[in-house]
Amino acid sequence: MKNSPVNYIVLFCAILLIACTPTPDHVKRVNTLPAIYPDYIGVTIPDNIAPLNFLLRGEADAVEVKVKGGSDSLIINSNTKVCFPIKAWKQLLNKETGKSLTVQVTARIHGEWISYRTFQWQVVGDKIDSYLSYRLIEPGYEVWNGLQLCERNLENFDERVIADNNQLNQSCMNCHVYGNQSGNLSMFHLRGKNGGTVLNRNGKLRKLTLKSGNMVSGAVYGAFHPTGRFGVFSTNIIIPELHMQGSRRMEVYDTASDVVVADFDGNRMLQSPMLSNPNVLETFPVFSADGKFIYFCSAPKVSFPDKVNNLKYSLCRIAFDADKKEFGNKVDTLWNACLTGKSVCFPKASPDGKYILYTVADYGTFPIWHRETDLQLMNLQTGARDNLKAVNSDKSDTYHSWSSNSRWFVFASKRDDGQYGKPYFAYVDKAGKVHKPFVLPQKNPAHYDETLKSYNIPELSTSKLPFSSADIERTYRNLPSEHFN
Amino acid sequence: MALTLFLLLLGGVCYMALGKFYFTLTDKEERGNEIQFWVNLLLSLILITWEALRNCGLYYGFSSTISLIGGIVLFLPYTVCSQRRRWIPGVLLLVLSYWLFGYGFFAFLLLAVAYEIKSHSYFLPLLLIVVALGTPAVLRQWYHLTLEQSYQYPTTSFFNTPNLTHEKLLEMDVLSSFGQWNKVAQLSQKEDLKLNNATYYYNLSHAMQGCLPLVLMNEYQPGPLGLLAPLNSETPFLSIWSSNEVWFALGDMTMAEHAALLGMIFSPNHRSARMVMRLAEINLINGDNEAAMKYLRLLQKTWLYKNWADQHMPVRENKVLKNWLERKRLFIPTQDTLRSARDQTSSLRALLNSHPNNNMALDYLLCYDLLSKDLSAFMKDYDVYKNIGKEIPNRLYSEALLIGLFGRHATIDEVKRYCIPPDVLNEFNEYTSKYEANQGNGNVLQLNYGKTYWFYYHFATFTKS
Repeated sequence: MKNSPVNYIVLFCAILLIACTPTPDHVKRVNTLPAIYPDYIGVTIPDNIAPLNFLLRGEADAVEVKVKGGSDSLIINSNTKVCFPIKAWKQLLNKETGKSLTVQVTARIHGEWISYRTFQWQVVGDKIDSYLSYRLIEPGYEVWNGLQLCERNLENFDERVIADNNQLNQSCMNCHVYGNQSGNLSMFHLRGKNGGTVLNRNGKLRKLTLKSGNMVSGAVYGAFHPTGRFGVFSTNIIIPELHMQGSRRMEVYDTASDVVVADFDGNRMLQSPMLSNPNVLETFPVFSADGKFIYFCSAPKVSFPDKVNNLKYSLCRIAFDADKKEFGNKVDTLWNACLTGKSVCFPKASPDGKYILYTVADYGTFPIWHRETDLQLMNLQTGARDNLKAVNSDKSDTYHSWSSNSRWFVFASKRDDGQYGKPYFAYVDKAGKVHKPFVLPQKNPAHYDETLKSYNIPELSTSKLPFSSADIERTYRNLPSEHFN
Repeated sequence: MALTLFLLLLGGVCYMALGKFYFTLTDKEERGNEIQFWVNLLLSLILITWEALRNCGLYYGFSSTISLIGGIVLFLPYTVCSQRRRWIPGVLLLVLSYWLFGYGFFAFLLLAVAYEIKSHSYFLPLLLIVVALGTPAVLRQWYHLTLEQSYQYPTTSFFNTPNLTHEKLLEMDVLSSFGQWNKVAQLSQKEDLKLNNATYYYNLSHAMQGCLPLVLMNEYQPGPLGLLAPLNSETPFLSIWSSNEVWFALGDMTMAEHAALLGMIFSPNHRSARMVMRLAEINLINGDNEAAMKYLRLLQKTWLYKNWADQHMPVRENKVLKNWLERKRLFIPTQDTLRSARDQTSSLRALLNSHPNNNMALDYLLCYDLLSKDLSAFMKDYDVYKNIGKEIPNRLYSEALLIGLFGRHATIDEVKRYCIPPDVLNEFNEYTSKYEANQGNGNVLQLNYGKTYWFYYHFATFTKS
């Protein structure tokens, strides 16, 4: 075995490979940053994240990347795609937790080696939840064809399809949401003939028809109560329309909307006149971290579609008593659209109860096609608001959710091309400072260049979902839908 | 070219696989070999012909042919395994061929079963059939296929024949993509396919040459569906595929993008270089260079479209392209309003509100009103967007105006205001007299008035096909 020809062949191939990989010589130093994609320059990352593979834009034909930490380092020589071996990456991050990594990129352009200004990766010990779910959809307007709900392991590159509408009679599927950032509590709406809201509680799947007689529609935007017994939902009459000006593309607005609570144990819909005012549009409800309040967005109705620019939502809250299944009798306004002239949507309370993260747009209720849409963070203890300059871009930044430790949030951003949403992760340190976000790493760094799918409603979870696409297919075809009163 | 090569490859591997069978057709070995050669050749040619015909299907994928080749190729190593333990490689190769080639594993199964029966082995064929029937059902969840799809993936049909109607529509589509509108017009006129999609090309090609209302009534018109295709999941693929052209020409870049995205979404495998090119163009016209770059980068990775993508890179555009972009930008709406994607007339009106000189949009709007037999909308749109009294209406609009004015009980002075040519007015009186004299019998009127709007208005009926 020692002198086996196989060993010689392997050795020969290894030597050949090394000999063929160009290494820098006569390097010219420049003071500019390298044009890497995705933009991972100066980002803060958790020590359990998958390798930040990237590529170099421009005309380079070879690249060397050195990632140096305090006690360890990594060197990659390749063409324009830089892919880190996952084992070495994990070792490096584990050793360098709480420290800064220095990244040196040297590229060969037209035969000349150029060494760019170094940049940093700050590695923090606050781990990000290991799983991310999202919906993959082509960004068409109104009409869909292929839809998938997926679960991605953030510690590596494993992606799993948890529902595929090819197996579900091409039905529309809405985005998948977790409760308590746990794979054991989640739901999504399946539309169409055999559809219903698929509820997962500890792997037991139920199909629910979340509509009672006087609701304006079936359940739409929803979130879980911390106990998992209740879900709060909006019911909306949704109108999609197109702008005449091409750069603005689509507008979606509600002509009627209310907020209701579903009792999953009692199969009852709970309603309050405070949340179903016919002259007011109430939408995007979520429970507070302790479950004692419902946060939602509220706007007075305007004349549609001509006055849609005047449709401005405020951030409000109402008390909810889970034991008595009762709503409070007054609505507080936390963020007043009349005072700001803007419109808020999609509030999400952090699990530690300290913050609420929401989206601010010029008007309306569909932030993903509003370029001006930005995230804003409110400290619920002090009322202070942070415009998150380090996080937001000149394109839509929205559809966010928190990690279980409240140190990270994920959001969908249309930065780069303005068309295709991608999940970005931002770190909130103990002082409440939010750091520059990074996009979900991919095995192939050209993935986002090549995909024609948008990542919708990314949500974080500490554990893997206990069901598969086969379970969803069975639920869709065989399980009768439970009705709610 | 690639298809030809792969069809020849299919024939070649089929011939090799059939070579594993030797039938004793005659006592003389040499004569037997000769007969075997011709039989194998004939069977291979039949397979090539069958597969070539299948490739005529609109949705038939090249991958189906590759799948078949793969299944047959895997049969070749199977025949060299020892007969005693052949069930092990048999089962493994069967599952492997499904894993690698999908439905092509049926080719492997067919050959392996025939091979075993010829060797007087009857248990193994049974085993292979059971495994073959079970494999797709077990593995389908890996690929997120339905049970039915799992037995035929990636093929879409088992027999096709050339569809000359599709060929003609595709020819019009290709010609329109090169901007050869006069050829599209000639072809659509010559073929007279009486299909929504064919009429769409007829109308569009004449509109591009500025003569839509002059020829509208000369050909089959399926209501307004021949002007603007509705965009929904029930619309035929070729109609969705081509639907962006008209919006692109009209200057409605949002609708053009909407239609192009749908064209891509409903293309086989959700990928279409043509649609990616169109999306790049739309974003360049809108000045959204970052979005355009997304599509151009994709095209730069292809052999066929790399040059096109390089030439269209923002900042690197040549003078011709720059001029073209400027021309296309002239009709981009300056006023922003909302409209439903289904409300096509609102889109056309919004285009005109921004650019009253968008003659193509005006003709489309007026013709849409006319083909929908919505005379009140026509009269209203004509009053709003046409220079009444300053231009003589063309024959089609004159005919329609007379019906509209008649409906309004207009006075002579009002009729005069529209500058309708006197000969049309006289003909209208004649038509009306004949219509009344014949008690609305269309057969009598068709010969002389079959190509007038009056005849269309009275006798055209909308049926849902």
